[in-house]
Amino acid sequence: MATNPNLSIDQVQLKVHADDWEDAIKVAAQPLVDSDNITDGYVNAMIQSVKKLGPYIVIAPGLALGHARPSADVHRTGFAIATLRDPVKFGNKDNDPVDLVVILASVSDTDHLALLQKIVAFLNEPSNLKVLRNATTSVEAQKIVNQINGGN
Amino acid sequence: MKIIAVCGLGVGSSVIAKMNIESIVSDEGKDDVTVDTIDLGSIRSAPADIYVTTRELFDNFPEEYKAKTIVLTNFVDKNDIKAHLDPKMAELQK
Repeated sequence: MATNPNLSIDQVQLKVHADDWEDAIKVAAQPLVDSDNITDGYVNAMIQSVKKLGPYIVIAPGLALGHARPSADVHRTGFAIATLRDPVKFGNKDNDPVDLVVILASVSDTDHLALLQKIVAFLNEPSNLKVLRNATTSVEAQKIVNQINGGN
Repeated sequence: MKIIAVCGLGVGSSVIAKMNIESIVSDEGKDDVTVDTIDLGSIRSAPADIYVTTRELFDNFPEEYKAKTIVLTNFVDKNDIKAHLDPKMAELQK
């Protein structure tokens, strides 16, 4: 079965608190654990990958892309987005501190591509990043989700 | 021309880089450019004209690949990617 390539509002959290970078990944990924898209094992794999490969997952100023390899710990492909009330440092020279965490979990090397394309299109626009970072209400979150799913 | 985006795992940041680079070269009308993604461990089995990666991973690149490599600090800003990519592509076309 192909994955429904849409972001769910349940996977978006605004202005949440995280103690540090590990906590930021855990907090941002929690909705995907709650929905049984991923297990805690995947969350640990994301953290281990940063420990092993370094904070390269901070792919733009303030933006971390938490992800690990597709594995049995991913039950269904999914994405989650969290903005942080208090930015945290990942140890990335260029792009710290991080206030926006995107979690990517895929059952295969390709299953996430359709939705990733939509999220990237959204993130490409500096004005969208500003809207996302400033958003605080569920109404704003829904607008952002609609915009991402609409592919513009 | 072949461009390869390199990341730690080959499924996340390198895929984002690939999407943006494809969009840039398509806007520029360059139809002879192909873009692939790999994880750093596979670089020796993936010949390319240009490699694209992050600063953290660049430090772990085999020395002989570094001259062909562009370091990006922002994978979502197409203007920034273009500013790094265009001079490198022009160099190759001389």
